[in-house]
Amino acid sequence: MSSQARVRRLALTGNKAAAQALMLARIQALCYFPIGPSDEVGEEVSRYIQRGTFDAKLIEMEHERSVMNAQITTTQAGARASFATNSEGLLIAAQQLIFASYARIPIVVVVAHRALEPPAVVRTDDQDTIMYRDIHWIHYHCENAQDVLDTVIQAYRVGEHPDVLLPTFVTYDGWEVSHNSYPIQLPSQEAVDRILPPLALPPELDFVKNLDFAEYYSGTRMSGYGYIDVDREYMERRYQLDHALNVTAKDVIRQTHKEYVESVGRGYGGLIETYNLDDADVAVVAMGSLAATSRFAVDRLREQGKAVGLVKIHTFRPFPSEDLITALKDVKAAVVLDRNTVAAVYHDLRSALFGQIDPPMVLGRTVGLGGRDVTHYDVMYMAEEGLKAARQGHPDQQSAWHFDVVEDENMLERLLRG
Amino acid sequence: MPDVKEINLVCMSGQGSVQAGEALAKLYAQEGAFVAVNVYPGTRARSAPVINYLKVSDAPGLASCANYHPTEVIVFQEELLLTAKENSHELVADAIGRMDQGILLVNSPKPPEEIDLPYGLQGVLATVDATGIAGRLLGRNPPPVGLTLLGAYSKVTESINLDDLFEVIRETFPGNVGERNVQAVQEAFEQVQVSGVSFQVDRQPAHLQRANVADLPQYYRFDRYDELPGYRQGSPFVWRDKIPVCEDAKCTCTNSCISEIVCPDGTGFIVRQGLEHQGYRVDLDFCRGCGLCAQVCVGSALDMVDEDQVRKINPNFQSITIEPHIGEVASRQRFRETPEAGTGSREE
Repeated sequence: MSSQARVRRLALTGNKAAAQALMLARIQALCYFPIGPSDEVGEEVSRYIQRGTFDAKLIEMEHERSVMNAQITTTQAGARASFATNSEGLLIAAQQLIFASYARIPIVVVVAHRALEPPAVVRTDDQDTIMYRDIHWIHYHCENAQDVLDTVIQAYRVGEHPDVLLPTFVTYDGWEVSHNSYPIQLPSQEAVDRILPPLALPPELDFVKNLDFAEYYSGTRMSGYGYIDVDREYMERRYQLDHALNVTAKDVIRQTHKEYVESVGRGYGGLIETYNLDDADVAVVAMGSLAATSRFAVDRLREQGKAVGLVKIHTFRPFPSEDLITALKDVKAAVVLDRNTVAAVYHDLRSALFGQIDPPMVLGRTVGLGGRDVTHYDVMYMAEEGLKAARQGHPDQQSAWHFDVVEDENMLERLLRG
Repeated sequence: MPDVKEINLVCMSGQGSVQAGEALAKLYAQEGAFVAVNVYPGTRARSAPVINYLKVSDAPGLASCANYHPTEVIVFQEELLLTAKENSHELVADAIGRMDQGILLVNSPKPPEEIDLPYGLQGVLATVDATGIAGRLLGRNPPPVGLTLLGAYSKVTESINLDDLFEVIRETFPGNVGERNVQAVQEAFEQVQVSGVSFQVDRQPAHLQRANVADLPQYYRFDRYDELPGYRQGSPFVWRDKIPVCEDAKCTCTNSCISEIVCPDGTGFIVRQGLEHQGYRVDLDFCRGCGLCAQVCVGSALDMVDEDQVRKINPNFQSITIEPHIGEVASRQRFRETPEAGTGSREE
């Protein structure tokens, strides 16, 4: 390593960065139920609460379902709350997840991905939140600890925006990001406060203010959300929800990211982030820690003189269709890396590109399930497949499962030499 | 290609490689380097391999994956070298076996010359008895040796500063725990044995052996531990040093047994019939040797005793039995009184 002028940096894991971000966001209630690898987020915040350096109410309950109820009602009462969970924790809280978005409660749930059982593994893939792609939550996918820290702060701002009012997943890969120590810079509390004002829900959403206890307990009013004569407005409500996610939220996410970059001087992309894409023939499209690995692989391919770039999808929902169409306008092929069994990004991207004039070829690759290691060699191998498709005008395989490329030492050498 | 230094930390879960990886990342980041630590987690709280893949570079944008060209490997348990040799755990075999030149630091009381290496190594082999040091100072079984080994790492590689390491430890563990860890690090720094000999043996590179999709059955079958390859009764699938042994005469609770309740794996059970006196027994196929039962036992009937000693004394050792593990109560008394048998430090 060379001896150039060095900046002293603080190294934090993804979970600890999320905990720092929650404290910078001044959460007032820490809703907690342990499940690895997310448990460290709550542990870290509660450690600060115990030492007396941070003030928040710790809410512990018997399972994720009731904890998420607590988070929803705390937010309805006007206090900012946090919760970190994953995989089976999200499954048990399914009803609460849907309630949160349909009732427009702007909660933020931090998710360190973990694969679903059986077989019993604790390592990562995206399946646990990808299976909730259709319930109108905002899905952020983060690539490293710094990204997690910046995104959690932005997520509260976006979700609590009066025109959005949607719950948000801030997700990152379990173990690969959650326990990955990464050098980060903490923004100052003043900078965060400038971006993130205290939680101010519209008066209609405030449960406590609107609750007439006499009515509530006498049964004349069944709940804050009404069961009487709502079917005439149900469809309109869903239209509002869809519009808020797929139209309004996109603008708010872009705007928030712009303001965050101005205020803090750093950003990991609003809806998408592009890297080395200007003259690229092939674009690798990835989310989460796959984007970090792909970035490294793209650098190696560029050293070999191959025109490969990267598109990192930062928000899977709302799906950034317009941004992707613009970004992929000039490439000949896009290689989509999916860390889930249903190839969700591949299908959404194909839908977005369908009907465009001269769209790029899209190659879908399902990789890294259950924490299967995806190395830069794997990404280089798949990018080479994209380059070959761009040369010959059609892909050998449209969509496929990529297991392993590292079969012998010579293979690695071949990939590195080009 | 940027110059990336790759460091692998290989341990059994509970030995503290995650803590060590975080401390190491903090130290390198303080010096201004870019770091990334990728963790392969053990799937059990104890007795499963954990690997930390640490990457250090001057350039940002490090890949988030395993290391394929490590130059420094820290092995937290000497038995893991055997795992690498037999290729019984492919990722451990890969994490250790992919290094052919560099620095290998092994946690072992042996001098470096006596270490049985699974492969040829050009470079430095160092050993330190971190388990001994940490076991004495930190008093947990098996002791967390991660930070202790970093003391030895600092001496051997000279890439991290000992005072900075002390600062990080005191920041992470304020108070007494931090001070004891600092002392352990200091001792490891002084006691590490370094061999300058370069070992040159013909080596077969470790390969990942994956399942073939076509060979797998369509249904999922829950594996029984005792049917897995490499299983020996009682051990070493559960990795531990000591097992709880009950002195039946002291086992007197007539209602519920608190040890039975606290056992994290539900391996303990109390036997009230078929014995001369009631006693506490453990399913040793699954006991992790954490010692919680012995800590909470109301009558102090339970003791954590070195498993090898028990196996030596009792030739008919069985994983599950209602008979006492060490013969009759009387022989257990003899076992306690003979100092050369070595009953551990609890009685001293």
